[in-house]
Amino acid sequence: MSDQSFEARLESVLRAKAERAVRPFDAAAIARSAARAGRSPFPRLGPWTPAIVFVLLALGVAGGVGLYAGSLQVPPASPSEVSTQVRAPFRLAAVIGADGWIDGATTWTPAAPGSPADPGELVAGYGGATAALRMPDDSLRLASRLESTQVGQMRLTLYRDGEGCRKGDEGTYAASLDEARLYLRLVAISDPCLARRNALERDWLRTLQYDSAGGRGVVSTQSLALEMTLPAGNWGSIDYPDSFSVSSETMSVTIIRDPVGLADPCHAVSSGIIALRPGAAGFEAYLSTLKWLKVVAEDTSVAGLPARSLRIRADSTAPCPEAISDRAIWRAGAPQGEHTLGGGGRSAIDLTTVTVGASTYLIELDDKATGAPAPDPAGIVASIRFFDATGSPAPQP
Amino acid sequence: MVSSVPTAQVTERATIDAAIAGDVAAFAVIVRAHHNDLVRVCQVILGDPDLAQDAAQMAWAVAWRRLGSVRDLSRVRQWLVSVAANEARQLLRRERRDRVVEIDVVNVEADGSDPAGRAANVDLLAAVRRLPAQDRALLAMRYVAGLDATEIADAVGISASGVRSRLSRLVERLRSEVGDE
Repeated sequence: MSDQSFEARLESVLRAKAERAVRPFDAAAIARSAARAGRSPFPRLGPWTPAIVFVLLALGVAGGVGLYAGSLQVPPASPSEVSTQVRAPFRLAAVIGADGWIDGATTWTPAAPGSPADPGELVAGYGGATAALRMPDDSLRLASRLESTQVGQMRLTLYRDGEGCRKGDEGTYAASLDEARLYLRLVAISDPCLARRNALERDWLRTLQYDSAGGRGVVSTQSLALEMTLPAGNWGSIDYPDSFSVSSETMSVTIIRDPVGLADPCHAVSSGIIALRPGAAGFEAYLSTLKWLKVVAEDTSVAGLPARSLRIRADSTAPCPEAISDRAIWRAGAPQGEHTLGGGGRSAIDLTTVTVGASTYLIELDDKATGAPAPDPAGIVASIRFFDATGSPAPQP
Repeated sequence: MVSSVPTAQVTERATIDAAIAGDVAAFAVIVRAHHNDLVRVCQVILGDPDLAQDAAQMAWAVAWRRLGSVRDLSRVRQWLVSVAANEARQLLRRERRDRVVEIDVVNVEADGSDPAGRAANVDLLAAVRRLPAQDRALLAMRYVAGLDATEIADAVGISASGVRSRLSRLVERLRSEVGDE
């Protein structure tokens, strides 16, 4: 055998072996898990680092924990009836796209959560044409290959034994959408896998969480629940207990419930936080204490609720060391750094603040300055409905 | 079969910049593009699908922390592959084993080749498994991730000629062990 032939054989054997480990995966969950581990503010550790960390932790505990505790007392959102749009009738539809997504969305949530048993979220198109149920701990169950057999039908083939089902079990389901394409109804035509049938056979509500092609959908985190419409595009989202961020190639939308201020704008990671008075007025009162900001505000409304449109510019003479170009102005109350916003690196920040009961919602749209035609920001803001504004019960089919 | 993102997919610079800045959604785009590659490389080193998944997950935690330190963002894929290979080797050390002894006959038999070919492939796979982990990492980067000698050299910190000669010696050793000389 020639050298080349042997190398080709070696490559073939190794690749076949390597392929055995490839499984459906949830990129968003992996990314969140990696991010949860955090980033060190000290990229290069030195012998003095533990001492500094200790001192900062001690200061943080002394100065910040009380404020954290206060800011985290956020009443849970009450996802209300979704949309007043007409749902009936459901019509059979071709729902599986070439990307394996279901009608342009990867994540669907039970329209009647908790009833009968919460099956988790229906996720599709992660790591290929795969459908699975994602549980609150990010584990996936009943992962199955997902195919469209004909208009209005989908076939799922189980990847592995489990939950009383056998690898290769094929289930066929009728798939229909309501007029607004917000609800997906799955009805089993046949499925020997009872666990999968019990989980899937119900109405599902379209979400904009994780990956989507835009359109209308719901967003629901631990303390934030709303419905909105995004322009067509490739959107990817990440959510935290009290904030949600979704980005496309051309823009990002970040929504924070009850943001907090930062005591040290120059050092976001180690800064203590400042709890803000409720409502849009409380947020503006905090901004007014930052003399290096120039804020222009005007009244507006979102979903019939009082709101303020803010344009914020940062003065370049702000009191930070020269090496620090981004100044942190606010962030979400839950301890995460991802929504810290810089004030020095951009010419202006456009925000909308909405007062919903005793809460403040902060909406930021960033067009990413790509030069591509920007979607209609005003249209996105106008499309938002806050569920906890109505106080009505969870979405019902 | 589960389809995967093509290995040649290049992650856009803007996405990497966003991930470095702390955008977890952008980081998820990078994960989606490269996770299967990382798992494949880890599998060759570890020989165990569950451990390979664990090592790839650990590699992503490292990648999140250190993405900002990558000097050449056009080479993110090879950097990620090298991080995964390193995590796989670390995992082997923690598991206190350096050689995977399980013989994966079933997988090789399922490849549809003739019986003699299948037996030869079993021998070849067994020979690969007898190699030290760092050599399996080299083979994985070259033949599974498809990196060339220069890219491997950048990733592991030795010269390209050093990589070529080590790979050449490895191939010779494997040929010798399976009687293909």
